[in-house]
Amino acid sequence: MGLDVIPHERDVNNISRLEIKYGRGAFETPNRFVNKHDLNSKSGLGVNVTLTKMRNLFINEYRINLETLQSIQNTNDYLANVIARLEDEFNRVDNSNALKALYFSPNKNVIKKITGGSNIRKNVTDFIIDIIENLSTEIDLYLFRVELLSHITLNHFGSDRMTGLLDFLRQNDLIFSPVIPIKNDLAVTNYTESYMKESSLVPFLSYTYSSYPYARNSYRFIMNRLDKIHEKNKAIITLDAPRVASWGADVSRIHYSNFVISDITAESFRIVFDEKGKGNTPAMRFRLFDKDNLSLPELNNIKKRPEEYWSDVSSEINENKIEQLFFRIINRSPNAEDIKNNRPVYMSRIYENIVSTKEYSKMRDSIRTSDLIGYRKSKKEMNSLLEKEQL
Amino acid sequence: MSVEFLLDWDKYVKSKSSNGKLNASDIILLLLANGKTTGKTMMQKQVFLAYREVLKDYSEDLLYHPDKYGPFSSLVGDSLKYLRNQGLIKIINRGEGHQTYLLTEEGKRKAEEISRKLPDEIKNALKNQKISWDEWDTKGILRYVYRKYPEYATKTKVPELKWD
Repeated sequence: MGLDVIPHERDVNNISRLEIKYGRGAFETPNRFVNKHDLNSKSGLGVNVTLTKMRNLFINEYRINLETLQSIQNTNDYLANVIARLEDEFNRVDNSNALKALYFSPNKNVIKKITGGSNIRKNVTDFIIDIIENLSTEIDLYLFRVELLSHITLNHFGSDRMTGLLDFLRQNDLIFSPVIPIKNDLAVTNYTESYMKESSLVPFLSYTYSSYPYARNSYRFIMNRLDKIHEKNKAIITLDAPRVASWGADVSRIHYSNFVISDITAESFRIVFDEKGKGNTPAMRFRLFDKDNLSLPELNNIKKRPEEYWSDVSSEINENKIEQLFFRIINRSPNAEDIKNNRPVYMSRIYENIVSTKEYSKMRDSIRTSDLIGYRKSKKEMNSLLEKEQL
Repeated sequence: MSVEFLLDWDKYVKSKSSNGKLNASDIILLLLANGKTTGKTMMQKQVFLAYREVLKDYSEDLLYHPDKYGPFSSLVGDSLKYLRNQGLIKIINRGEGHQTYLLTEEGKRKAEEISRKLPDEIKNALKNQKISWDEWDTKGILRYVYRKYPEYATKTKVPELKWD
């Protein structure tokens, strides 16, 4: 079973339409992954919209923090629990033809420990190998932070020696992607060059998210090679993208990434807490995807009449009670049940899934007809941010 | 009524299949031909939705009635045992309520035979809906069923999943 990246048309800034073919199906880029947030929102509303059919790609993230690391090292049945949880999560997309990706994502503290001691790295990579060997779900693509794949620290290249994990992946012909931290330009330079030479087992180079000004050198380096990367039949994934930035413009950071270097973008799977450690109230967190700007304004900042927004999803969500919910939220009159059950948050995400998918389709069409710049200019807020950042 | 089926199951299957309509076993096989289903509640609700939303014109009455988790049919429960005994499905147990149901090779042949009698648009609709139903967790499918079929949610043990 292989995974082929086939480049098609190329437009401004070398942004391309790629075709990705794999065992059960195919999809085109630019695109975005469906993730657990999206499936949980679907369940939270009980809405009948097939997310992995709209976008044929799903990513699941296994996050490793210090607590997880403790469990990996000290808890006997932790492996069984993790496998059971991952299988439950993948079960929900098992019959779909979507590409299935599993991202092993250690946080900053764990990465520090991994790079600081080879025993800890071995504990973690052995654990990951055990997961892969015991999962009954067929995974199409594994993603790992580079620190898990290589013994070298990010700033010292040269006498590299592959880890047991890298060895295991190669021996078992498993398709994987290295995840390179975008803010470390030395790591980006070295790992990009190094993994560009890798075989078809590495069809994607992945980078963590940053806005352009915070990783300018890395982005320039990748942009200058974007055509070569695609011609080598590799595509670029951006991981850990926030839905919107915590400050500044409300543009969708998922869509933003696809205007910079990303062929496929995955949103970070994180639960956002306010300063008091509690989740923001659902009404406060409601954001509505605005296709005219590729942005996610809060309710106070939406510009069109509610009916105009609903018409973008009415054919996909053909249920009166969901429509009524949408108008209750947008008219700022959600009822107690809506708030208690977090429905505004779920509605926001389901709405975004549908409308954002349509926008990706339009973006691909614009690349096909060599009019990406026209498409971009029609998205005022997004274009204004990109112009401000000289992209 | 379910006692009658349990006592003479073969007679029931024979009489029901002769009227040309799909029975509970047929619907289970058609459903599983589109992939495995995990969980007892999920199986009951997916068969319910297959019956109500895709195969209604082709099915006999599956005798669904309100129960503690919404619509429930003893025919579905009994059919699962029957299909397993006939070697048409496998049931893999992984803890309480975590049965995974899937077709055996013989079950795949039988499902294909039943499927041939259905129009392509119905087969495609079932295939597409199965993917969508799977994307829900158990609470998700219950939310949908309780909202769309509130008459089956009257005895539910999880009223918090009701819409209103």
